[in-house]
Amino acid sequence: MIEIPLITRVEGHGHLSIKIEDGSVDVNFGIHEGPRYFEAILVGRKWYEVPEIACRICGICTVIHAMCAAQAVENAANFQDELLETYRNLMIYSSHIQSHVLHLYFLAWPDFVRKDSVISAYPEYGGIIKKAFKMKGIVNELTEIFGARKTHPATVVPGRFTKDITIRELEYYVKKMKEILPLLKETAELFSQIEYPDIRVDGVHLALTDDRTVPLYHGDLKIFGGERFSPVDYKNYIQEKVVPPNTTKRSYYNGKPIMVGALPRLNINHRYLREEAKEFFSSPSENIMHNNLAQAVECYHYGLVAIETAEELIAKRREYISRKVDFKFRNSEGIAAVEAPRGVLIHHYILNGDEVKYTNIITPTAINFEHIERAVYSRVVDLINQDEETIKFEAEKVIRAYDPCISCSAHVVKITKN
Amino acid sequence: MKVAAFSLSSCSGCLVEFLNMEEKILEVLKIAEISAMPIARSIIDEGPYDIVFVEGSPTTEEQVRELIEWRNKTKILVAMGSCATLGGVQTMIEDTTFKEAIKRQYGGDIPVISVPPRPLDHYVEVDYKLHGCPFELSELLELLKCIVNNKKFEEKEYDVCSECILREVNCLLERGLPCMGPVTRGGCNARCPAMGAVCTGCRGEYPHGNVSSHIRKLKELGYSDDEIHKFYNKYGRRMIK
Repeated sequence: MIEIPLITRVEGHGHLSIKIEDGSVDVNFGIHEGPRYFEAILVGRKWYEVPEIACRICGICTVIHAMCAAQAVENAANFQDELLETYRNLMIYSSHIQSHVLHLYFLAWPDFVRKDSVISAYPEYGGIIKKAFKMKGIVNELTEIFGARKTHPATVVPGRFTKDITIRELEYYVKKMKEILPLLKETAELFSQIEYPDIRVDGVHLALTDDRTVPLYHGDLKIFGGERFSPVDYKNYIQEKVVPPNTTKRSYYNGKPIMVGALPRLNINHRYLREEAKEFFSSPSENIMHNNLAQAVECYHYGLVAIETAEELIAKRREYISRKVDFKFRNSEGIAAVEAPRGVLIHHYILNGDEVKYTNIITPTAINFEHIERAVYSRVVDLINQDEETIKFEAEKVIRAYDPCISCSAHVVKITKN
Repeated sequence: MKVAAFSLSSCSGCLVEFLNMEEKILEVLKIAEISAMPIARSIIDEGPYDIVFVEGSPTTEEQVRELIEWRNKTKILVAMGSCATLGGVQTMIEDTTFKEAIKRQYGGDIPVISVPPRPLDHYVEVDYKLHGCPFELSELLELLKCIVNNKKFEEKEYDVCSECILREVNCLLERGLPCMGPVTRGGCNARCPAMGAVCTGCRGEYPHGNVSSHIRKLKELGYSDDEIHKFYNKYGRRMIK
């Protein structure tokens, strides 16, 4: 029996136990996050408070949670604003890169240089780490320009940003993003040079698609090489169930475990990757360890897309002017599916009057749960004759590849029906 | 100096913010060793420590035990962010209006939290509080400087309104929005109102705030008792019942 009581260098509290007996392997990935019941907390709150509260589900995916919540409420109100969405995308790009840089360099990368942390890697790899700090610092600053805060943005409400965004701010955004673009490219290079073990799972890949881009904020949901469906039909395609003894919900598509994240995104939307970034990710891959590489390639891709998007707004002099909006709902239902850095995220609300009546939130790590466990299983089977330390080290490495966000996945509220 | 940073029930945002010090962390490492920080390090030094930073609030028995253990192993304990200083957004679960809403919606029992979310000082002695959701990095650096130089770290004794006035921000309450600035502890440099977003009170109660006149103002603006109750009880139960 191999126990990892606290999986480190991931967000939140998870544990892993691996039982090896007479050549058979049993893997249990568990969560011991304290309950916070977000879906319940949101019931009875005002429509304009939803992003503010929902973004506190997670301190890493905070921006996309706020954006997803805002879009779901807007969908309930049949509200659309193309310019607002373009500006939201700019903020999503910077926060997406922030999350990837944090995961790639601070959480995952120490494994590949056999260090316990960035801190102990610093004396040897100071140059690389300083660059990571620089990228993270700059994209954080850019998120803060739009959001008032880099963690838990205050300006994201349904229908608008609470502030104007000026051409000068856009110019600054472009200037700073250009400053780190070479480093984002180096990130793609660095992670394309790593040799990854080959780990496959009999499952499916799921991501947003829009036949134009590698979308993060809008699109249909698509199974890699398979069906495509609208986010509003998510319940017909994503089956959630609880498998005892665990209490976490797991997700399946036709009985198969689902993987979401950077790798499924790039597999499904490969042809829409910027050519410069495609160089580092030449063809789709089923190896889950390539999720690290896919994240690194996304850093470069979204850096390029961010600059292009902001430059286009500047060229057309399209500033964002904040205007007050007001919504009223009549048992209105709103569903939004977006791409968090670690994969598909779904917010679903029913509102009446000006209050939330029902919530359902499906987070990427909850979707990935079964897939993660099976990937660890597959890795442990390969290493069955190795010593305990090696198995532990490699198992944690597999979990980290998914960039799990355990606070996110543990929000689930269980309500017993009378 | 041995520093540790741990997490209870929370979003991990304060530890992320800790890492958002970016290169300043390298400065901190010149005077302190990070002995335990599971989000960033695989090796966990079991202590004793000089400073323990804790984010989140305990919501399980095990977490209460952990918290007491950290307290016993450290000279200084710092509550980091509103979950640790006030109980956090998860305290909304205890709101009675919420319980009724859940019953109406699901027609079933309310989810049970075995240990209701409470600020850390409900269980252990807390030496310093870093307010906010998340806390302010500038205050963390100020606190570290105070500890190193053996000086007293003072919590801010003014409201968010004062900071708006200094920054010449147009008053959001005057525009009819439910801003909590007059009754909320300052120190964030009014970062939300300055960008048009109301203060929602994440830094907790400003002890000298004029609560009754603030409530009167909100009522004048047309907010109901229920709404006002909710505005006041978001990051931890505090100002009014």
